[in-house]
Amino acid sequence: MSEHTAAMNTRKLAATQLLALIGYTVREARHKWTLVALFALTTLFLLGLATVVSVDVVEGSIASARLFGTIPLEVGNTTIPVSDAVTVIQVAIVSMLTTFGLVLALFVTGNIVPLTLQTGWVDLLASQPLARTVLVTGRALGAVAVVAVTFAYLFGGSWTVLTWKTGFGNAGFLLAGIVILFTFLCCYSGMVLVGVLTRNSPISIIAGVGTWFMGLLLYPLHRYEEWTTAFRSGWPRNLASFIAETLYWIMPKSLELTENATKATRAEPFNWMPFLTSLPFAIVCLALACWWFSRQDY
Amino acid sequence: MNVIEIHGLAKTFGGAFGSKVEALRGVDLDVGAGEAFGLLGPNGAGKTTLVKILLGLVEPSSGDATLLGHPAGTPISRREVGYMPERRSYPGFLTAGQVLDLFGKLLGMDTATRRQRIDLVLEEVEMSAWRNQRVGGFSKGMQQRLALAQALLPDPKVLFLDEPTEGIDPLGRVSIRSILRRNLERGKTLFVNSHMLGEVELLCDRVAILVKGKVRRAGPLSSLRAPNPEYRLTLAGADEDGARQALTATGQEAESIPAPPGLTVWRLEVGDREELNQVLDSVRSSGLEIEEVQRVRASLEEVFVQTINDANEGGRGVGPGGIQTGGRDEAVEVSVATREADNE
Repeated sequence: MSEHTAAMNTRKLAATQLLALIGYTVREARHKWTLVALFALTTLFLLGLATVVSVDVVEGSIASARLFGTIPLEVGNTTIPVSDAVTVIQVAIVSMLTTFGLVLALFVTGNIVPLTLQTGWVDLLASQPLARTVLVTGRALGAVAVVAVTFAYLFGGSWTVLTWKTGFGNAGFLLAGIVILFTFLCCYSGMVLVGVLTRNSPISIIAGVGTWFMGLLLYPLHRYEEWTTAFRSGWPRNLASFIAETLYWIMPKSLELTENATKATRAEPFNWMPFLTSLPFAIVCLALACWWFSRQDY
Repeated sequence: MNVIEIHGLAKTFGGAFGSKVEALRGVDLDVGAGEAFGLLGPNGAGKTTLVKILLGLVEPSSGDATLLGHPAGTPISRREVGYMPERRSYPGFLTAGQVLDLFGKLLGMDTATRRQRIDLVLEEVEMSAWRNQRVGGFSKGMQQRLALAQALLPDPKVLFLDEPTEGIDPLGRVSIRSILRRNLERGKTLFVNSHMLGEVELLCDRVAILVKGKVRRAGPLSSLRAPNPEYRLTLAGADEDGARQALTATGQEAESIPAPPGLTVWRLEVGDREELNQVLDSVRSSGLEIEEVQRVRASLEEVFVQTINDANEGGRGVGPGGIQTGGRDEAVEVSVATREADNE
């Protein structure tokens, strides 16, 4: 066998293994009712959206709106463009998902890496002809796949319901789903690293949610410098400012990514900086997790 | 051709802030193709660590090893290797078939090959009927069979078995042993890691005894157990002095060992059968009655205990023949008989 063929075979094997681990993670989520619960919640939400909102559109504007099909909502003399009404609903959904949805996603995927490292299971997996990097990456991507499938259902379903009800399809809303998934990926990578280091699900979940929360906290500290006046001038103030700024640039910018999801829904231009500065965190965390996992004895 | 080659392998756990534990201290071993090799040792001897290094689960501190010609620990070296670990935990929500399907995918098997191999290995371990049952409901014996099926899935050239019959009932042990023997006949190499000496004795051709991270003895089972012909002579009557006189008249060393009332029991070390008969003639001519003559074979257990004692500084030195457990010799005889029967 030539070196080229051998290398190609190794790559093909790694891809097969990666897909197997992703598939296994999705199956695990399904069997542990995680995916079923998420789908049930989403279905309830979509049914609610389909039944609660009922609008009559005349010449591209809402002529009347009713809740539960019977309770009229007064629109008055104001003409509300359908696009605006739909966008408002979608922004509300996006806002809900960037907070409640993201935290829920982190909670349900928090045990995936620690479960992989359980004694007796890690031995079996790591003794297979696969690189440990593939093992960690496969499981992490599996978790992302679980969340992606749920988001696809939620965003796709909401988009379909609203388009069907109003005749207005907003592609930006679907894009917002991808932005939120990216935010999840950034926070989840921190969770993977801590999961590999500690092999502990609760600590991993705290790390993931903490990463997300840090992004919310650090943005105002970065944006408004007035908070530093709480410290004495001189080195304490400089030190506090330095720590906050350093952390701001290191951690994923969850708040600004959230803003981008809203912008996507409103068809406003993106601010790419949060993407470009959050991605290195995800890459470094995953690389460190792979490196650490590769040198551990099991 | 050697499928496993180990040179100066050492592993130290801990360090920096904690206490150091030297699990392996310069191990040299070779295992040939088609061989049934047993690695023996007391708990904590380093047996599992050695296997884990070979499989890339543990990084050695120094030394090197090859597995099927590849550096041990690399993914490529594990392609034709099956591993049945001592401690395993399959996800309870998967069925036996799904477990094997996952591992088949990790081995890079295509769908058709996977299906074929899964059918084959489940049949081999007599688990076909349990294919669609969830692993969570399996007994320990069934989990053990599943682990064996998983180890056999890649049609491995080398099978690593860490305590393969631990916690299994006698029937299960016989069944697992016969599966392993069939694989041995197919030319696979078995590397059995165990402290269950009887099992190793029944399965392996060659053993190494690992104590405190070092190989203390290694060689064919027959050579390790090679006895200086030794017999246990039971005489009727309690006249110990008379018996001693008769026994030593031929110039043999005779050692009295505890005996039931009305009997005297002696341990004799003789050069050959002729010498034994001379002793027996002397005994008979002294008017003593022979109750029983029994050949004592040095069991693996004795070799094992001796090796451990030798390894322990200031050990009490209970050597072969020094252990005076009544049923041991019979147990060895039974083991040998079973092995012969199995071979048939």
